[in-house]
Amino acid sequence: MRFTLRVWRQRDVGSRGSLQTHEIDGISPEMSTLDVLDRLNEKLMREGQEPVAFERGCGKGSCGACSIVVDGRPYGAACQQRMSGFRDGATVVVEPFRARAFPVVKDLIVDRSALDNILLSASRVDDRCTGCGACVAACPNASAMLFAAANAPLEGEAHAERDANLLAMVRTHDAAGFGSCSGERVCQEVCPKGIRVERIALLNSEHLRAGLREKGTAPARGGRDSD
Amino acid sequence: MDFVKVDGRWRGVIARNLVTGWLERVAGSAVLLGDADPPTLLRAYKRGAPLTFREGAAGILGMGQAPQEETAPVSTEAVEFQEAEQAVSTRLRKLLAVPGSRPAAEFERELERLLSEEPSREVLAGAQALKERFWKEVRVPGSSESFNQALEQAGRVADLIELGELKVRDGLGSGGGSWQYRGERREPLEIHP
Repeated sequence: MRFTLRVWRQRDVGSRGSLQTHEIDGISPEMSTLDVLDRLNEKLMREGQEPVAFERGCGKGSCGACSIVVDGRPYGAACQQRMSGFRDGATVVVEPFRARAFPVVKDLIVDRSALDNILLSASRVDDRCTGCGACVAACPNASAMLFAAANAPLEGEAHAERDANLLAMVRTHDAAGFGSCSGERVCQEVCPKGIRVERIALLNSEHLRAGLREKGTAPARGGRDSD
Repeated sequence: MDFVKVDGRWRGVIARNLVTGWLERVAGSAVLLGDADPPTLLRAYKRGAPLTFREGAAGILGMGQAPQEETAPVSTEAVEFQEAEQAVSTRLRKLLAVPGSRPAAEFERELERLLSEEPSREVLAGAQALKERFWKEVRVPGSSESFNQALEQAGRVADLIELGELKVRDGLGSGGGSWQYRGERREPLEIHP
């Protein structure tokens, strides 16, 4: 198979980036986008040009390191995506995840430590997702609420520590420059772990109660739970 | 120090000077290596962080708890820091200045082919020739001023070639199930903030 690749090149966070066009041949359908980028990089290196910066991680779709946008769709596990999905001769656009909270390090690599900071702000989290950030890249508001909800400790009885964790996670989320959830629901379509937006609703309700308890305007066990 | 776990089994130990980035010691005992061939340890090293666990390995290896004590922050004004920084930037400049034309990945593949053979005088000569050619023929694009994966890779391949040569040397010498390399002994780094 042969493709026209349009790849985002950006020197660093302070520079302007642009799409660079490359023709690439000899691609087999079972190769991933990352393998195609490898092939492109070998060609660039032979020509004495700088290779495209991108990340590889576990190669099994469980770490989220290799996440990129391919043809407008964010892939949280680009290593699992095959070129067989494209027709021969197609133009494929490869870009980094775009969000204010994810500054571009170089080319296709973004700094997603804003997600780590959400986890670090809590003393305990339910680690349910790979932290790829595809939900953020897909969201028109660049909201990380699916990520926060996936990892927030929402099960079991409410208690002071859990309340503090929920409040801290949402506060850190907002401060990092992630937008609010406005119910677009695209995040759940791109989540490699299949996390659903209902989890955000659960976080929102628990977060509201935690906020009320913090202000002392709600009983220790709030709402209908205490009936 | 990193402990290397491959396919659920502990296979080796890598000690790296965290200040200078140099490899100080690489070891894999017969017990640790199990049925692994030495290149397994090299492959594990190449894969890097995802395969390393510190505290867990310390228990398994019978070394007790991994040290947890806090160390005082190192001043960037310290002589040792300046020396280490100097050493690293010299090495980076050297890699970038090689007037060659071949990507580092090609040398890595050549090394892998070489190491898949039984250790012999010829293989050792091949590894030494590879090292010499690497430092004459590699091409590292970009600069050391910004994030540069080609430079990272070239540094790693240079390390691997070094390790490969040691591995062949050891294979010639002992023929046993364990192998070990100890870098030149240095006095422990004393840092006065």
